[in-house]
Amino acid sequence: MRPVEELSYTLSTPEGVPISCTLAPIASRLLALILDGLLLGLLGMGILLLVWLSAPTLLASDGFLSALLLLVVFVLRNFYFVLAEIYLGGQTLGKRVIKLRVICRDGGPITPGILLARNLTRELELFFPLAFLAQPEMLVTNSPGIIRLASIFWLVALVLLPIMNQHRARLGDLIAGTLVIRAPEHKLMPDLTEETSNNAFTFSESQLSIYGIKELQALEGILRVDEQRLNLATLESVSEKIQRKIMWQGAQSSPEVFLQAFYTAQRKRLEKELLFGRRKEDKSVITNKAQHNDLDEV
Amino acid sequence: MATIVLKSREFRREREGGWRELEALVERVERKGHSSLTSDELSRLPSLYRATLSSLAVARAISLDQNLLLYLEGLSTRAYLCVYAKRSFFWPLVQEFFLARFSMLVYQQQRLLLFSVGLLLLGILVGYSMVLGSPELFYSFVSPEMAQGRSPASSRDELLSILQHTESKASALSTFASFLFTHNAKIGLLCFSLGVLMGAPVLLLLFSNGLTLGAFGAVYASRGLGFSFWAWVLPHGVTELLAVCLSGVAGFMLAHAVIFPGVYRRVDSLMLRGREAALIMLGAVALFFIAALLEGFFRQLVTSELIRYSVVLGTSGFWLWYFRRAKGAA
Repeated sequence: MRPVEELSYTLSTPEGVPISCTLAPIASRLLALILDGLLLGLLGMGILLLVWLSAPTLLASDGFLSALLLLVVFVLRNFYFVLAEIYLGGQTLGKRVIKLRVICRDGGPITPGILLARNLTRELELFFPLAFLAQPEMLVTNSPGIIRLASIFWLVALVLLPIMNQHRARLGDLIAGTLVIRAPEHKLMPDLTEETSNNAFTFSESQLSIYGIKELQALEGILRVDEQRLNLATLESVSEKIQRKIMWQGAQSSPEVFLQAFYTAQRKRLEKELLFGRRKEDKSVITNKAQHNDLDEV
Repeated sequence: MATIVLKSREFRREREGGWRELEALVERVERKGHSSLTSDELSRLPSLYRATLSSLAVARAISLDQNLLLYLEGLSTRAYLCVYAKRSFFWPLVQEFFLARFSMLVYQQQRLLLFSVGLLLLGILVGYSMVLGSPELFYSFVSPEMAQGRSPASSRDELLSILQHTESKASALSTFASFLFTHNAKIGLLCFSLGVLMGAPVLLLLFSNGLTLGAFGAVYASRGLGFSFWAWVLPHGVTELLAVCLSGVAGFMLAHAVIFPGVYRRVDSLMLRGREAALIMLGAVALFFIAALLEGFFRQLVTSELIRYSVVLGTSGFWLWYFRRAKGAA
């Protein structure tokens, strides 16, 4: 079983340093939409209740009530999203809870006009298909079969658009040039190499030239597992595996101490290589020591 | 060798203070907005952001600490959003839009606007002349619910009664106006969104709107009621048809971007034009609102043809002035 692959997007900032972000999964966007929908329902009812409480006589004539209802529903469903996103800087309340953000594909500032552009199509993308589901006969009355088929095809294509393109963009996103990303929240943890105070272990060049960056970062992941949940068995098996692989002859100690020391030495070695422009992605990349030396001499 | 010296670790030690400071600022902005920062902190935000971005660039080159890289990546994104996705306030935006931006955008698209208006007029003309020639065509241009009992078979008095129909109850009028607005604006929004489909639905919508209007016009004209009919339609019709045409313009802009992307990729061209088209569409929604007020209240309360025609002149004059105002600025 593999974890669901996360789509990432490289955003070019105006400062020239690209940042990579994680695109929001469809499921969380749907969840945010449902939350917003619930909120809209509550908001609509709240406004009606307020009017009813403040001016009950106005509502006595039912004409006014239906006029208000129509207007409130229209304004809410077409302008709630854009107003919320303008006011909260690219988030509706639902997006805020689910931790999603709207960004511009080209890395530029997110202006109100752009937020408007991505939300004006909701009528076609969201409410029209919903209305169609509720009343399928609405769309297909007295039109020839071919038109009916084409309409339904377009409707389905529109709704499925986000899963059919690489940026998970819906129509509004395409028109406005926006993307929805997951708001990042990574905590900075202490540097693992800090804990290696003394150099009880020495590793030879050949022992450090086996693994690459991928293995190093996998080891980092294992070492960074929460203290409480620290799995001794995992540490032990990993440490055993590494010792076998590098043919470790030195002192034996607890797996954690050994792995920490190995991590530090390995990282130092790989980072030094990195400075020379040699990026060893994983263990399958074989560094040809002799060749490097040749090149260095030239 | 007592301790192991790692360049990446030294680098982190040197810069971590700035990152932490930025993180604290960003966290406050995310929770309470930019207004929660003092002016001093606000001016530090961009420089801390740039410093962190440069840290990220350096870290990518020298560090293999996954956690550090992810942290910097995330912090940079959050700070980027704080700097470039500012919260805005509503009223200044609305003012700026209606006083300057909207008329300017429409003025820039005047060729598309003329095209849309032309298409609508062509529809009216075709509908009018065809129904005048063979009245039974009325039924193919106008759906029964739209006709509301009006047809070539109606008597002169039946037709006239609709034109002179007044409603005194304000409640019924507000419902009517509200219904008209939401209905028309919804169609306008669909027209805009459907522009992406190469504009064919937009062409159809504009033309068929014209056909319907022309067909009605012909029915009334055949009973000698043409003058009264246009007095009934045009006071709100000028604004409403303009709004329909503006929705058409917005739709055509999207269509144009998709069909003729020029030097851009299609998605990029759509993005560039889409942002402007959306603003025009917003203006069109406002026009639909004004038209619905005119239709829902004015038309039902005032039957004098003189006043009706003066409103026609007034609204056309106003819109002409409003959109040509941008000429000097453009």
